[in-house]
Amino acid sequence: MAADVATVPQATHVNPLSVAALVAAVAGPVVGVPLWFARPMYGGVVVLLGFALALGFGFSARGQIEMSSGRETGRQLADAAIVIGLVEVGALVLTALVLITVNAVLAGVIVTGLTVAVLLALILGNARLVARYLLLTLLAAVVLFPIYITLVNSLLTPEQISRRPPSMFPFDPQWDTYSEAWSAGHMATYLRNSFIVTILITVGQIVTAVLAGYAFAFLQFPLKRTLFVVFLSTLMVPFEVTIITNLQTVDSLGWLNSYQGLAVPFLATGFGAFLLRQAFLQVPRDLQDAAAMDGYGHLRFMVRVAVPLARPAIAALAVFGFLSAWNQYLWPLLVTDDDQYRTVQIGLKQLRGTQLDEINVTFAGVIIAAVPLLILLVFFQKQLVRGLTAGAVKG
Amino acid sequence: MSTTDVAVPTTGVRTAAPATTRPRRFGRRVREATLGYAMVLPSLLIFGAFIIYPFLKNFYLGLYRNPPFPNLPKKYIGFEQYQDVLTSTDFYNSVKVTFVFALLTVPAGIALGLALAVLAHQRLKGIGIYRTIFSSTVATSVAVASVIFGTLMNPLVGLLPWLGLDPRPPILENPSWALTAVAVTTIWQNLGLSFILMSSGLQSIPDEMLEAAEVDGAGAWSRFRSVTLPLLSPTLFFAAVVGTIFAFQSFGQIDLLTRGGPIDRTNVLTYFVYTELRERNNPGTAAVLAIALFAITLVLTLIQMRVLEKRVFYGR
Repeated sequence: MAADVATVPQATHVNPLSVAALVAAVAGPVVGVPLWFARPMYGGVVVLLGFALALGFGFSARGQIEMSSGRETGRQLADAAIVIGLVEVGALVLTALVLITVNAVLAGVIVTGLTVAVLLALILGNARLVARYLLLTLLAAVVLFPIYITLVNSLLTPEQISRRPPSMFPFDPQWDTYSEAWSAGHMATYLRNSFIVTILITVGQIVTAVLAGYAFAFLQFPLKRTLFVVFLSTLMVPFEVTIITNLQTVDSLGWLNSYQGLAVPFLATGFGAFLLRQAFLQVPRDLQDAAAMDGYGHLRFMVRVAVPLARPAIAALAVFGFLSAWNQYLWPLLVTDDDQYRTVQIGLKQLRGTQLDEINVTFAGVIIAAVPLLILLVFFQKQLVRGLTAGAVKG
Repeated sequence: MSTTDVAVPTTGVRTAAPATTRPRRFGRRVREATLGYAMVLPSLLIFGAFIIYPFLKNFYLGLYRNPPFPNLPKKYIGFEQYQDVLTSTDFYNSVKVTFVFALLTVPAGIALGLALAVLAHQRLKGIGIYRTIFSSTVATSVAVASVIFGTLMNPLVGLLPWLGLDPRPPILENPSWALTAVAVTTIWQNLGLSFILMSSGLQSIPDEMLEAAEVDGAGAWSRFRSVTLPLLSPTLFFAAVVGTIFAFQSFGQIDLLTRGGPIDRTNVLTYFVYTELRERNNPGTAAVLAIALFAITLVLTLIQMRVLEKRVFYGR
């Protein structure tokens, strides 16, 4: 194609694929929309086909243009085709959704408005940038959809929930459902129990991990290595493997339906000790010597120097511990059968068992159960990410 | 003045050292060891009582057959029970279901997490909001995800039947669809975790490498395929193994969505252990199943450690 361009550097040409992409992007709606009015099915297919071709040709064209190092042009054409394709599919999905759920007039207004806004943004701004945001927003909507629809359903009446086509927006929010889930659905009790157990476990894990991690990092004692191997080997035993005897143990201690029964088996983790040991090993030796010169004993050094320096690791452990304790399912299911001690997760199982005419209460319960962790995610995202990337080691 | 102040105490310590510190050093060593044991002890007590003892006791429990009625003595039958359980069709089915479940959830979960991570790995205003949204399902527990998807797939109030996906019997009671439905729920619930893992993997790839590839004329796709993907492979392996271990421990979604049915099509190992223990009141067979679960997880963990070694090497 461009065999002897080296001799004639000016002989650039427009990449044919990008032209094809643009044609497909424009032809899709031009042919598809009129067809839609006659045969909606075929119209939709044509628009979708145009969109797919626009994206496919557009991306291949961009690849070829980049490889040709300036011997081909048409990059803007390809970008435009990709963007138009994305706008088309967005408009298609939106039209379908709105048409079905509300009414045709509103659908027309919204879709026209959005299309104009996007086109204006494309003309005035950077096309590639707008395309990126469009794609990201589309995916974010897909990821959030299950939570969104649950939120909407929690604010509808049971009759509205089972109506078809479904309502996508609560025009007359039923806030009472939440107070019903809170008191009659016992969500208040479940939440309190979850908080108590989760905080007991999180604090317990931090304390035991700091102590053990410090011992493994700073102290010399016989069998230290063996003990560390024992700690690590506990990571290899999935909790599910130990439930048979643990249930008997907790039963014989009289701990069924109690906070200690829910929390005590999880007060220490090999993962925590390992994480804190690694953090303590980073403490500079000089600091230790300086502290020793000042007459600090081990406990004082741990509390005043080592623990403050290991704060990031402790925060990661705290968030990770909180998350896994809050989400526990199997163990609370085994050791509680009294609403007084059930946690949120088991409470959801109770709510799920209710009748369909109270399904809005179930949805409200789901939202109530999800909110604490969503708050945790928003405020402690950094610690959560660190805890999870380190914590996935445990599996 | 200051120099003499410093000099005097140090020389004093030096001259005193040989005479006084030897017995004290011995005492200090004992004290240090005692402190060390005291600090390790709380964790060790928990591990001993709730991990090591119950783990070892499984092997013992597996030797006894439980009576059909409670309050009768259990009967020693030795390894016969191991043989019975491990060769039963129920066990074979359960292992198969568990592996299929892992195959349905792990590769798809990683691929989706990677796709989102690549898209969110760019310098854009407000990208933080998208990252939070993509990681948001990490805040949904198994129970939250299961109840949401359970109602979405409900034949009466769910959206899925309305969208045309309405097999008979209903999807969660349908032998050929139930496991897939549970898998979709699980993929969505783990998407946040997968996204977070893949994002941190991408962030560890130095920008210069990608820039160098760009200078060499590599397009976006070839940059992804020949620079990003190989550099990300330790993260991918790691996520695959961790994800498989997670999949082997899945329980809540089964309990909430299908209760092991229909006709045992979703009876994963953990759920099998649970029903043997709880509904059939049979700790003996539950213990044998638990040992099998441990053995499979152990193999997966050993692979994971190999991968981790590789990861550390790559990290340098």
